[in-house]
Amino acid sequence: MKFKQFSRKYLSIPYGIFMAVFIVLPLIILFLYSFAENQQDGSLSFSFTFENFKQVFSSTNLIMLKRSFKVGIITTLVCLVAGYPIALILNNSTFKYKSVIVMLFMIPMWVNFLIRTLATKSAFNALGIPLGGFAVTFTMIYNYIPFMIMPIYNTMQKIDKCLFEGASDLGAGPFKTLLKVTLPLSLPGVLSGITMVFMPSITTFAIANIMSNNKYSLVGDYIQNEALNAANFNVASAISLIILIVIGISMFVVNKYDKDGSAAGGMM
Amino acid sequence: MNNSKIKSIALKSLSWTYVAIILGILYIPIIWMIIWSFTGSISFSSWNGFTFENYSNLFVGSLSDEIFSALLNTLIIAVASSFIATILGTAAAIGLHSIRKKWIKTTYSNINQIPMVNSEIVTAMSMMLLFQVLRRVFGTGSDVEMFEVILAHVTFCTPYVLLNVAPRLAQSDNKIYEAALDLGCNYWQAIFKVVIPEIMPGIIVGFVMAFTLSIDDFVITEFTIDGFSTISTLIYHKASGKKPLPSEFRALFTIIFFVVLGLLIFINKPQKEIKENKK
Amino acid sequence: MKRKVVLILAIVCLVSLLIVPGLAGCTKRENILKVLSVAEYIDPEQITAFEKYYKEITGEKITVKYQEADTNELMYAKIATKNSDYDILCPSDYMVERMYKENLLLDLAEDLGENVEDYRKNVSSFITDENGLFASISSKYSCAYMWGTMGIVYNRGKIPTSEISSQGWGALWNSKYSGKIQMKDSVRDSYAAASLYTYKNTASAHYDATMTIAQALNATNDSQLEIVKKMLIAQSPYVYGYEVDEGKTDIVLGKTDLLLQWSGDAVYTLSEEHMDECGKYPDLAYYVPEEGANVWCDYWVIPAYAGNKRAADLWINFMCSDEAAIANMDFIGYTSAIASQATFDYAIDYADYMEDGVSIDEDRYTHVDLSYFFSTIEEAKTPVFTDIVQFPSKNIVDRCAVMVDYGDKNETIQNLWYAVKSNAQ
Repeated sequence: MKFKQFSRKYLSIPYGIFMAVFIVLPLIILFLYSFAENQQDGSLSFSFTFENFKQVFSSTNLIMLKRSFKVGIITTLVCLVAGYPIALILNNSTFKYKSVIVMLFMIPMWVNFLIRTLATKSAFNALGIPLGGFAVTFTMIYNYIPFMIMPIYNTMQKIDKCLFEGASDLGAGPFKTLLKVTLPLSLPGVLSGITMVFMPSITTFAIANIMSNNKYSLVGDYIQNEALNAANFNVASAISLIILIVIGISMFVVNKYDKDGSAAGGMM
Repeated sequence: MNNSKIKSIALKSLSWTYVAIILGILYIPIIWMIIWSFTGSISFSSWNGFTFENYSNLFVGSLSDEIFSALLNTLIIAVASSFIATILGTAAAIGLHSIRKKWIKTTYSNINQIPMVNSEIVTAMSMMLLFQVLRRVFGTGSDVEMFEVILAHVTFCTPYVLLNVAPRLAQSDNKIYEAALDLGCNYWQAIFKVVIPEIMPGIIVGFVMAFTLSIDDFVITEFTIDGFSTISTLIYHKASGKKPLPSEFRALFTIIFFVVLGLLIFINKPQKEIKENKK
Repeated sequence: MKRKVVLILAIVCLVSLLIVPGLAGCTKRENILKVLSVAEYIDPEQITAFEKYYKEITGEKITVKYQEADTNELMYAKIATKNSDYDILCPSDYMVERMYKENLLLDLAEDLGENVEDYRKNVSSFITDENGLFASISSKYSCAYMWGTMGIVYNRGKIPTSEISSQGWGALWNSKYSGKIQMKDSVRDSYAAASLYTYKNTASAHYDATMTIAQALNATNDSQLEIVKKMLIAQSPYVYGYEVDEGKTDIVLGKTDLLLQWSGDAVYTLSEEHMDECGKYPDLAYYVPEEGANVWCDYWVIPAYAGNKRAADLWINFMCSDEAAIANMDFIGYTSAIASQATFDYAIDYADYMEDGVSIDEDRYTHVDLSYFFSTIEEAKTPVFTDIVQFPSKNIVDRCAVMVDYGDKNETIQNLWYAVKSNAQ
């Protein structure tokens, strides 16, 4: 091969190196930490152990893990049930300022979640609703519902309108069209929405603590505690690794259904 | 006929009522916060009368120094990281566009996707461990700490730049670049005079998006920050398990909300152009 | 469109040109002092005053960067694992001990140089005494800042004093006050409360008369760990929340009635001006249980990776000056470790309360024996009229003990706390 002086290809090298150092290497370090014995000063030891994973699933953590799953599942379900009709209404509407309304659903996604959570907390306090499990779940739903609506809406937007006409020509009523055409075709968006709500809702820290006076810890709070307060990076790494694997699997599933990445791609 | 019309109107108003309710729930806390930013009381229980004190206190009040330095840090980090991310991401997009080998292309863009699909806390955790290890190797000092946060922000911002620039490149005509070379441009001239102007809208959207992501980030910043604060970490530390939030913060929230709103409108405008061009 | 683009790029370049030099650090490290302390633990004006003091002495400019950490454990993590280059920390007694054991502290300068008056000698002998309560910590590497007791702040309007004093720590476990009890989101303090309740309360199933208060506070044998864990989990349904600072306002707003609290924050909570702000006046009081409690002291220390040791030494010295000690005490409500004539005068500043004959809280403002603390001051030999919450009397301090470092049990106890938090109902 003849050596060329310059090719545009080479422009991809700096970011390639950057990715190796700041995306791949950190994950390798995370992996190593999760199988290493805990050191008091937080350094990486090279003694292999499963102790960190055992600690993650120890009996004392079970309630926290179960509670996280409960909050995650309720949040995802409520977001789906409440959010799907919104996406459907927005998609079917021919309203002139529809884009403004879509935008209104998008704005909260971009406003710092701490601000939204603190705003909710003050509203709860003013209304005299006690903080605790209900407040946590409500805030999760409140924070993550746009993340369910947008991917579903984006997928629906991509469905060929001829399909609806075809369905109605063939005698299907609106309900049947919804069931047989819209629902199956919007499935990639639903899957994408689920991945964008479930994992973040159980791994985000701060929300649960703020909304329950520090009584109701979820997985995210646990990682934060282990990583920042207790300085037990190994346990925090172990649980992060598990989350990473779960995300990897769910992405694999989503990609299978949503090949062009349209649902997640049109988030902004 | 008439009956079905009534039915459809009923359905329509019902569905819009539903949309309005959900939007209401989404916005009530935010509007609530904005309204209460105009009164001085610490708790939300008693309205102390209309005042702009919270806003002026951001500049002259007892917390103003803290807020101002956090704001400055946030801006430094946002500008620096979105600037670096834009350069890195644009270069990467141009490079990636001309790579022919499929496996390199796939691997490259898959790794690029990791920070976008990964849970924020996992990214945060892994970045923290990386800096931990780097500090042990290279030592610590006050000059590194802001760079750590900037590098972390570049890591999660660049994928969005790349993703905004790539579609623009896909639309652009490769032949123009080659024609420019044939007409005597050198490689750099061809890139700066032909390629870059063509993908400029994508670059700008990428930049603004990176900027917005950076000023808005909390989780990754909280894990990598050390020895100073940004607006979001300041809010967190003032709010979690502390005294009730000082009333100035309601004013700060209101301002942040409108800034993000402005940026968002900006991002979405050119985005539409892209879609129209595509058609 | 093109022109717009150029314009935007130009602005961006300009902004980054302005900002990047700031990033590179126009202020040199010698001109920065990085302090890591607890939130709301200093009078902000004293930070400015220090900057002035530093300029007077060295002729150099200094900028103080004051950062907050919620707990001692967080402070430890920053130094031990992140190797952060803070110049000054403000940890509690047991954490100072731990940091010293792990070689994370530098010795303080013995000689501050000519023309620098050494204020550090004003720290009360009650704290520096090598045979005293805080004997495990040497003034070689630390200098006391604030000290106090741990007790319960309660709403006297709803729960009579006699009811609280008859229960002691048990009040925090009484289902009668369910949903109105607030605990600390801090391992050591919650552990201490539970441990003291189980071992020093005759009504408790785990009563152990052979134990001293110090032993109960610092015991780490497995059986006790298990009991404390069970106790704290059993308590969680009654608990309104676990807080660090927020409890101060929650109790004033009437959201809670009982609060595990440090004396200084109790002063803050009980102060009427603060109640005015919230528009309500619950009748609050502070109580240090008879069966014993914790007496603690927070110290200024210089961590091992400090980047500006000279400024750190001067900071410590400045904070020991009468003016700074009094201003800080007045601002935050805690009790300064400085025992000078000036701080004593501040302590007895309540004398006119007595003369006015206005209705005062007689449980709080009373004659207090401070001879143990102001040992060099003649007037303190007899009990003086002062605020007993801020200046605990000898008999209160006598029933208290100091926490020591748990050593290799630190991680176990930390895990215990997470177990409690993740099992909280």
